[in-house]
Amino acid sequence: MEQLKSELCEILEVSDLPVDLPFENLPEWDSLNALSIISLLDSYGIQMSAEQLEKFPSITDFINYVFANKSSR
Amino acid sequence: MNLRFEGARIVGIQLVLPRREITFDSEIDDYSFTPQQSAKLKQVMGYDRRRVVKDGVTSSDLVVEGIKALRESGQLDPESLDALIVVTQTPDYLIPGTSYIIHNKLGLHQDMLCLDINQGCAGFIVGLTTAFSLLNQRGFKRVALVNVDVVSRLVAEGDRNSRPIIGDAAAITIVESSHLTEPIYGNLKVDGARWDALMIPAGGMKIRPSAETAVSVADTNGNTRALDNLIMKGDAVFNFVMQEVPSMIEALMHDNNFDLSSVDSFLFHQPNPFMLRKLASKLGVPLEKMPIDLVRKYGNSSGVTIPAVLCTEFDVSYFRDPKWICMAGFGVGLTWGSLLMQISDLSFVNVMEI
Repeated sequence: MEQLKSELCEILEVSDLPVDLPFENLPEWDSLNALSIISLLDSYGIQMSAEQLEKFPSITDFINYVFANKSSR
Repeated sequence: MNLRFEGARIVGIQLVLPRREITFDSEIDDYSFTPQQSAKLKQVMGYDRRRVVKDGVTSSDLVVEGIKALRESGQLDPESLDALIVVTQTPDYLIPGTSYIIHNKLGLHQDMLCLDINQGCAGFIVGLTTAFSLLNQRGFKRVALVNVDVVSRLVAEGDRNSRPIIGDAAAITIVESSHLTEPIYGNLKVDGARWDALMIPAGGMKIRPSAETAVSVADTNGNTRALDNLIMKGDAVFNFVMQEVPSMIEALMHDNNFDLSSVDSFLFHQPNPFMLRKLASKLGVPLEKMPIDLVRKYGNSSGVTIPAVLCTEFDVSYFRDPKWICMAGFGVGLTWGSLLMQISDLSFVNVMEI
């Protein structure tokens, strides 16, 4: 889980992940961030659209989803 | 479906690039990216320079200049062509096909086949597959495969996802029958259920172009487009490529008892460096064997990118000794296909600018 968090920090270019917020509420959120996260998910064996990604009520919910559904790594 | 061809070879390839170069920096104000976003897009997605036609230049214009240059240099006698296959998504007219316009402008002979195929990013694979199939019929000895697109004319100015990487180009690939070559292996797949991942809504018979289809509308990602413009679902295309392309290449190798490490070069369609890096890493292919930066220098010219990579990254001397080349195209349809073939002793590999 720490690994995923640090990967997300790197993509979002933040040192502290605002885990209570949805992705869309991040100040620098854009479609390249979405694509980078979709690309990261590929390595967890998960496919997701940008729309699905933005629907998670918070980043914590997203992280929980990834751990419940990941198939490899 | 799996494919196997015998008795065909590529003779030479002529790439035609518009001389007009547009830089991302010069358009940066159109897109309202922050400076940090722009820097990242340049680095990761290859937003940099692209080649586009001047206003009014059509697909046939690029192709005719390219074939004329081949005729003038003595590298092709157009009278020897038995077929002209034109793969394009940007025809000069709805009717007739662009192959007939080119046939007329070049004054080609009547004893041949003209064929138009509407394909995009898999267009080189689909076009070569068609050319190789024709060459199985004894009447066809030499085929010109043309890949051409001027999609820059159909991308909205406010489309910040697509416009900064769209380029125009044409490639003329001469293919002929031969008794000396190794078999050519390939595979092709289609999923029509995802037809709307890449499309232009208006302009055909379903939605005729009108004042309304020209009205730009903003989406939630900072893009503005009209129904007359190209629209691509970037995330859907990304997921499609990552899901289908590595397994396609693995099947191509496995089904033909070929080792991935024996491939000399991987010439893949060039959507952007980001996706190609990811593909290379998933396949375990070193980047020295897979060019990924065509988009950065010339833009993504859909079906032209594979011959464009070949012509801009390699020359005739590279192919003096036979080389095993693995090509892959993937996009509109959705279609994905690949070919594994030996290329050797090319007569020409040209890049011309007009």
